Amino acid sequence: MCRALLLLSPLVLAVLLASNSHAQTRPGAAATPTPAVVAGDSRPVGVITGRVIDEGGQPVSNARVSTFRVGGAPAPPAIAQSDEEGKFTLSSLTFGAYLINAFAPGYMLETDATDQSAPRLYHHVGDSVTLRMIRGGVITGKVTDADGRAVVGVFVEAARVRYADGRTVPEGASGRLFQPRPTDDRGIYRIYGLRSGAYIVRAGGRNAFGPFTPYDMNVPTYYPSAPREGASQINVLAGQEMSGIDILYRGEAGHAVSGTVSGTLPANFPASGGVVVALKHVSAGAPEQYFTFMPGSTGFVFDGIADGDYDLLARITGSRDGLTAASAPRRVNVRGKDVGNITLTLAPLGSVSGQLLFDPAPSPEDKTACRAARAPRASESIVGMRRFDAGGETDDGSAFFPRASETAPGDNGEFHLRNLKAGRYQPLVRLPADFYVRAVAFGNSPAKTAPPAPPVAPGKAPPHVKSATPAQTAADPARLWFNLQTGERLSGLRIHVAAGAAGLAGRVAVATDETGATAARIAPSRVHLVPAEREQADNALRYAESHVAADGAFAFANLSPGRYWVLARPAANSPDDSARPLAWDAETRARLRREAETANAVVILAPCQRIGDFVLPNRPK
Amino acid sequence: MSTLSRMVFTTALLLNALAAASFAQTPPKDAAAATGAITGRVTDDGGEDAQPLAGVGIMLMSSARGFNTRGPVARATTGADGSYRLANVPAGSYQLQILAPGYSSADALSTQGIGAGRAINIEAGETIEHQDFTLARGGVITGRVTDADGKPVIAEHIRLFHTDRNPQTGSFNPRVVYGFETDDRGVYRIYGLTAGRYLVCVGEEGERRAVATAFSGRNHTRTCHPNATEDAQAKVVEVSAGNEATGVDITLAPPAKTFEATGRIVDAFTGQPMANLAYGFGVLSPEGKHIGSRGYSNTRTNAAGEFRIGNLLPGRYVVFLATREGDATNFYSEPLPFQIDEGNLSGLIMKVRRGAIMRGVASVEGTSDRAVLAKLSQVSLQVHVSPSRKKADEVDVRNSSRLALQPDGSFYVSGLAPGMAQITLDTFSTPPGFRLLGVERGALGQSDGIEIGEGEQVSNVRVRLAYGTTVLRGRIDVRRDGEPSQLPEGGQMYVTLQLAGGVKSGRNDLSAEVDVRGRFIIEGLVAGEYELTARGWIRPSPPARQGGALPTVTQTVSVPDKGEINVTVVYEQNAKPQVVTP
Repeated sequence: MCRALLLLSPLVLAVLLASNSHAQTRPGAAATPTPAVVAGDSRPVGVITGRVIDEGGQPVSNARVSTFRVGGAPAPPAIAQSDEEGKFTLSSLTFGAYLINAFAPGYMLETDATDQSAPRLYHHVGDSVTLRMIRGGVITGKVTDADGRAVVGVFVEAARVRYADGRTVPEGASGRLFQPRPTDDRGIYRIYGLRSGAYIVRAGGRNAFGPFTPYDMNVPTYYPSAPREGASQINVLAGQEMSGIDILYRGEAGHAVSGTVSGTLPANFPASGGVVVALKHVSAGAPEQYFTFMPGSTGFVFDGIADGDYDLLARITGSRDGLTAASAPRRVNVRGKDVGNITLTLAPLGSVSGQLLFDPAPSPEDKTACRAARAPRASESIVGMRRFDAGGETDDGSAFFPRASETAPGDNGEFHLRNLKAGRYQPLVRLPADFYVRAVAFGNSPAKTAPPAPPVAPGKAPPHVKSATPAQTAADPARLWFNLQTGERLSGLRIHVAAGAAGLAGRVAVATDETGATAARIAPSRVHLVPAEREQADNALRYAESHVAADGAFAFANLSPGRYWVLARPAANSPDDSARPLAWDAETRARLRREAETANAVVILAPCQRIGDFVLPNRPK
Repeated sequence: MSTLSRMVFTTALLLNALAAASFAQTPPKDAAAATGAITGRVTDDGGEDAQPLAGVGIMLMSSARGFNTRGPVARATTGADGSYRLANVPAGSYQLQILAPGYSSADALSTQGIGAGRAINIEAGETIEHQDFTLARGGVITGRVTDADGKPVIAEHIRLFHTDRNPQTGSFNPRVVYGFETDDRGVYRIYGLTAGRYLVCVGEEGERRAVATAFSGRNHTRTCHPNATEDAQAKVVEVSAGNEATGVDITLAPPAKTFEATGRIVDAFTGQPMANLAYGFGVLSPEGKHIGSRGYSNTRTNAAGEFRIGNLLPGRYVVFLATREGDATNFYSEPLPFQIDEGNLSGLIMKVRRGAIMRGVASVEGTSDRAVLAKLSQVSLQVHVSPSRKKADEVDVRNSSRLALQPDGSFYVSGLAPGMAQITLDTFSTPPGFRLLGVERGALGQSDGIEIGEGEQVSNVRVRLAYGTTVLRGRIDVRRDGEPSQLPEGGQMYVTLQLAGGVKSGRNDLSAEVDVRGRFIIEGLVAGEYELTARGWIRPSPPARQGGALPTVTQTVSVPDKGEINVTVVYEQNAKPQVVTP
């Protein structure tokens, strides 16, 4: 109660009163005088507290803890230092969704924020957070030449090619490349702070962020002593040391790949820099190389490139005016000589803006309705875009882009996502547990001049609207996605949110065969929710799918109340989370529905109902 | 997420890392018509038995402005006989750099790609031979750093000081790239060191320490091997060529207690809190008038106008507004000094006022060349305002703003404090050839600067630029008592040119290093009378060679409006050495 009152700021109360005549204020709160508020969502309202502990649960003191507020008006980070007991308080926070990072030399957060297919952990004002920090793994060894002499001062770089669970680390993902470390005068290197996973290690070649070395023009030698194709993977566990990863350095001369950039460039380029070129071997898992333009230079060159096929891509990394642009990947074939005069033309990237709209709260007289535990705040929700390429398949990641882009709306619900390359997108919304997405309406007329979402102004239209669907954009319940053209600025995406969300968690039962013996569980598999109500059959929002954990557990949240079939199925193609959902098109929806109807495991979810112990019978065919 | 903790930092704490980062480039290769070559040989220091060194990197860097942000013009690696050849070298001024991480140079040149190289000028089509280098196996210092509880101190930078230098200044801290950072076990191993006696330390002292502590939260006082917080107790580590000093461990004292300062930034007139303003802080100089080391965080005030600076050691500080380029705000601050004793400080109030705005246009006189005018937006102008009605106890923040030129030469700058505004040209980051002739307000020349009133809108400022193309080729004729002679070992020279009657403040000067053959080139000169100054010094190479100043000579040079001019400077070594004034 105390927390609900804290969150229900006078501004929100005023908004509720103005927009919904049925809305009732909480006792006492209405008497609070309305102060002269400067900006709706930028008043500090509270704190996030927590504790930093190590692997053994012991406090980590002097860790630097900081916030990053996602979306909304720009907000400075809150920074705190953990005390002797590991405790910290991040204060003067505004409403919003926060990522929290902690830094202590030699340690890293156990939660891998760089794993883009793992959901990011957002925190809100009032949360208490336990941050577990672990020691990374170590790769160490010696680099020698063909005569057995130590190779001194050569930079050795580790690239994580697989996560601990075997999934491929996408190109361009942060947490893929680690700071290169030079060998010492004995040829020994030591790379620490590595997350669990499979690594390839290479020595030599130009390190774009380090000093010049005598080995810059060499083709990198991969452990144990091979070009890229012959690299051996090294499995690393956090906290453990992999020693003896010795490299026999080949020192072969490579070729140069050079060119210039053109097209949509940052204002004042080249004086201001701000463009990066990435070069990537076409074979999956090869570490990419980067070239950062320094002020005054217009050309790029990659030295020490071995024969092979590569993709080159340029993009703007930083521009004060928020300009975003990238070139299409350019395939380059190096065959025994230098490749020059490559022009990479940057084109603007697209953006999507829209609004998260909360349906009116149910009338207090309506005894059948459940009420949200706390008032909805658009700025504590997350709106993301998942991209599928034009062919409808998963993003190949070859363009060095983060796979998903997400943000938090401002308090008025408006959001603006940029840096989107052309393709097919599905909006993904993460809401407080009591809410669900009721409808999504896509802007049909791209507004080429749509400005970025403005900062929240006082008296701005509230996120609560009476009419659910505005006339200009029609919701198509059968479609989950929209197309974005190159450089397009799509506006008017409206996401309608309703209160009373249900939740369903449980497990897939261990199956038994005719003889009563335990049969193997279907694994890995997914659990699907399929609307049992005929009129919802084509409402893509009523379909949901969940991973099934090794112990058979699955969970759904933010569900619309209603009648569903629950269906366990083998994963459609790959276990990769970026795979397109099965409910993508009408045909597969119909197929799912037929399967679900046959299996006939029904669950009825009432508003606000949370079922936590659902057991889904497992009937292997 | 790394940007969260990113702070811009003006002390030399991260000198090594910064220097390394500034070389993060390789340039496009320019094709030049008549190119030359440079050849030479690298050997060890075995005297008559000197052995060739194979696999040494040789790199030619342009000496042009901002040369270190561009990549090498040519590169080579020594072969089995120690010889190298740099081919396809266009005419120009260069620095010859050697890359041999495990070695040290007998001539105190950097072997790790940062710092001093050998100056060399080359004519079109010329081949320069015998650019030889002698290298010695570098020394090694290795050890472990632990805190007061015996735990390893990870990712800590080791700082070395030659003891035959003033250890306070740090200016003779050898610039090492390799092994100066402790690993996850607290172990470091620095190699490629010149023979000598060193203090081996971690942490900073004084002002730098105060800023470093607030920046990183690592607040140990400077501690030298083995556990000395006073230099007198520090154990000197002696390193000879190719030898290894082991067990050079450092044990840190428990961290000092730190405090925080909080307050608000308010409008000086209305008292309203000012949200989303960037601020910086600095350490006050002992007399309290200037800021020594300063730090900028990327934090801004929140909606209640609050600011917070944490991890402060006891001492005197000042907090000030740090307007960022691109900020739409138009405010300036009165810097606010404060003192941290043994406790947190709260309730500070920093007042900001609406700043003045200056608009104007920069033009290039005497040219209608489109190629020249197209470079206008790359001209880097700075404006600095000195308070005219300076209060006795006011701190001089010395904030300069960049005047960003639009392609048509117009500019606009806001947030200026009242006072005398000086506009200067930063020749270092401006394309070669541009000179600042003068600044006018309306039709009036403003040689002393432009007087700006509180919140004034100054609109008719004219910046007069010139674009020169004349090339000056010079030669130093070294003499002793009138007879042809040579510079002493380690001797080096550079020349500066100043346009008589030109704007002298700022980095408007032109300079060039005199190369190994006594030559220098200065390009992009406009016509006029210049004062040429040739200065010399001896590069220190401790412990064998002390540094020192050589005489300074000046002469007047008349530069034509195009083409080339050849100048010979007679450099008499027995002239009385002058004190070089910065």
